[in-house]
Amino acid sequence: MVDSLFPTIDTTDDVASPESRRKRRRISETSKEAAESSSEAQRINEESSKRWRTNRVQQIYASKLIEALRRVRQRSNDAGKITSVAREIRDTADRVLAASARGTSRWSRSILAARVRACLKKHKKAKSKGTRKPRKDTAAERRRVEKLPAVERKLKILGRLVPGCRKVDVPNLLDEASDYIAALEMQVRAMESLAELLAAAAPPSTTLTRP
Amino acid sequence: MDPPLVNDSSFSPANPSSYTLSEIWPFPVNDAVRSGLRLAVNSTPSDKDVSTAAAAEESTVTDLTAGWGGRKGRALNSEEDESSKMVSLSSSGNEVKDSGDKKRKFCGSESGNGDGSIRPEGETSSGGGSKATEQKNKPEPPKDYIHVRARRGQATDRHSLAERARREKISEKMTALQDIIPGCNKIIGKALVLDEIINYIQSLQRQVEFLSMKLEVVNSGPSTGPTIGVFPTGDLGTLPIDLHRNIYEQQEANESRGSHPEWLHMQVDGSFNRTT
Repeated sequence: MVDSLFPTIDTTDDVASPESRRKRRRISETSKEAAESSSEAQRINEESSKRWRTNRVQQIYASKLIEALRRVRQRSNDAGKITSVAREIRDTADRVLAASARGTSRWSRSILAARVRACLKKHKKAKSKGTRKPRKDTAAERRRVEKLPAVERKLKILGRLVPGCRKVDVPNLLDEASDYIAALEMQVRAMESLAELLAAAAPPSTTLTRP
Repeated sequence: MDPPLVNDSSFSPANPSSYTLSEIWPFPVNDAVRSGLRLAVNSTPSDKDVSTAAAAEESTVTDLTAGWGGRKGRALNSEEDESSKMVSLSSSGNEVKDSGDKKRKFCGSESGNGDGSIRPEGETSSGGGSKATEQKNKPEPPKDYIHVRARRGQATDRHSLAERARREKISEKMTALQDIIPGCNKIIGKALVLDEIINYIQSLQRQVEFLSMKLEVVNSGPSTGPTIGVFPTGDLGTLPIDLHRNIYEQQEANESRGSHPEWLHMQVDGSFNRTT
């Protein structure tokens, strides 16, 4: 008889004990939850910022960046065509950044995949631009789009900013955004110090005025 | 002759079966307490005495708790509680003991169900919640992976619980982002925080573009670039291979000095306060 009663004991026990414990825990609950949420936020921040702030990651990025930039310089010299070198440099820097992410984040995979797709398209000589069909600019469509709640509109914009995150749901999008921000900060710091070093190490320029 | 300090009459009778638990312990008793008391009280128990004492205790305790249950008068919980009380009395399961251990703090002896159900009832009756939701509020909903404690006055069906867990996850991530972005601690509201995030990412991307232009100018020879005097030329090829160590040493030195090149601040939005 007791065995058959054990399941009911479990349920009644669950009924009984929390409701009496709740009173005691009420005071500590809010503080504990606050502590939990803040520690969770800290944890997320720590793991993304620590990833991009370790010396090793920075050194890897810097050395790869230098190599890539050298190659860009050679290619522009050899090719001889006047392309926008700045754009190439930026793309190179982004690719190196994505490479040092080691494929753990969605935006890094998207950056690398975009280049592969571009190479394939060049090889196949595809004329069509891409799979993005332009949205029909009807007034009704625009009204509907603009009536979306403000937060959702901003989330869409954020999804457009982070590469490869257009159709990602909200919590993953926020994770990707935090990782991307940490990576961008590292990239900015690296390029800034590289530029400073180069400027400092340069021989003084002789031509001050254009001929 | 002095009377012995210890008088026999002052003792409780040595025969343990001559009194019931209810005489020395006026409150209804839970199993654990009862068993504990039994051990303490019956110093030399014989089996028969223990069993009779136990039976006597049970009967008295059930009388007391039945009376207590009737006294409650709020009908909804009483039936279910009485049956559960019978259950808890007739068994000596570990679960009941655990609840008994926890209840011991109050006055050590109330049965778990009775105490637990009376107290919030007294509160919520003043709060004015409906009976149905009272009953639903109490059980802690155990889920498979996420254990969420349902608060008072909030619905506890699966959908709202899942939604609440999802919303809490999203707000956790938003606060994590708020910590990263400078100047975002004071901003309240998801829309504004998202605005700041978007601004920050855009400004970072613009910085990267600007720096890449600068690197281009620095990189190439004196043949390109509008005003060479502004950015002195440098040669990537002449850089030593182990440059990467130098890069960050200089960066660290810069940061410790707290100086940033002034031109960089043009890119940063005026509303940010750089926390350096």
